[in-house]
Amino acid sequence: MRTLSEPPVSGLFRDGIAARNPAWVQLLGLCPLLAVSTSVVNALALALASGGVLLGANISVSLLRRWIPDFVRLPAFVLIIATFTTCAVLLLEAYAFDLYLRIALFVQIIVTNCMILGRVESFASHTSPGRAGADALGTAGGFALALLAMGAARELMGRGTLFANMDLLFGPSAATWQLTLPGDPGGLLIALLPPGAFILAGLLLGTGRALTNKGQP
Amino acid sequence: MVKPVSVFVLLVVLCALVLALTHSVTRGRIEQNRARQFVDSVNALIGQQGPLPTMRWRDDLWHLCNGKALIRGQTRGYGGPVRWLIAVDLEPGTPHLRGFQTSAHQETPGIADFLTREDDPWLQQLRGRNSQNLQQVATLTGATITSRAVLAAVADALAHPDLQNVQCEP
Repeated sequence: MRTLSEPPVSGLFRDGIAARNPAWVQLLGLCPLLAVSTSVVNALALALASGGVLLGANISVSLLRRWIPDFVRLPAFVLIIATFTTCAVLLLEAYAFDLYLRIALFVQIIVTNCMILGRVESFASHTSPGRAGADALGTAGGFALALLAMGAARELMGRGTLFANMDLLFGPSAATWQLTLPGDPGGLLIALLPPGAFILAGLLLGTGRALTNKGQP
Repeated sequence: MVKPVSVFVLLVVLCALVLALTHSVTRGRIEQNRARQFVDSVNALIGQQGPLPTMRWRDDLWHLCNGKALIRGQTRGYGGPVRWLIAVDLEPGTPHLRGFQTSAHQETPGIADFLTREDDPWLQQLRGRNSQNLQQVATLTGATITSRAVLAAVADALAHPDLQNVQCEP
């Protein structure tokens, strides 16, 4: 595990979150980003599922990279990603069923998320499992950051709450985590609807880029 | 040519093993979850709480033996079959609709969202209708084919041949 502490590896992690952020720099995975980010709990569940699939796929492809023939590498990668996605769907259905009913469709289409195939093909298939894992954690962290920012903004504006229904993911004790805006102002419906998602995503991409490219025109 | 193919086949076998393992670990809980959800949805449909009588479907009809019956089936919608579960009150008077629930559909998202919205006014007005006054309901503008499928489903359910032939002995 010594390699993990070497500068390039931590750099990989940082790059995945900021300089190569999948959402606001590479504009990948926007469909689930817009569709699922109506609340923090939905966003967090999709972030965990996508991150788990990305981590599993990156490490497996890296371990198998010497045996996978170049000729069939894309089908092989898609097969590996689909296997991890199916496992994620089964685990979600078994351990967070109410959440499964809400976001199952978007967990199933993780398999088509270009972010994952992109990292597997362009990075994990040429490098060691440790570096591939660090890269996956960074990229997944960047995607999670975007999802959570959108989820928090939309839940706060659309429902006037934050961290509602967290018990769907963390068990009954998490039901008390919900914060409600003082005075109970209710919600701005547009934040929950697709047009609001596009407007907020635009603001998120702009802010993310401005922060990432600080000092550049 | 042989080597890439055999490596790929090995990979397929490996992935299938991983899936089989996950499936065997999660199967029990998934079945429990689905059974619980079914009981919950039937209770929501008939508006009561608690355990249900033993499930006994006969020709897609299940007499709950308290003046209510459930009928399941499917009708053709716009994007494919709309699968439904319908609760019928047998009394008083002629059989009439108690609740309608869509269990699966492939209708246009957005336009057909009323199918899964519990408090949808168009679905609400179907409640209490019998096979006669059901025909006075107008289809929903913009979702003509989907709402016609719902009306056909309710008509189908109310016309089930064994609806009045209650069989509750074990």
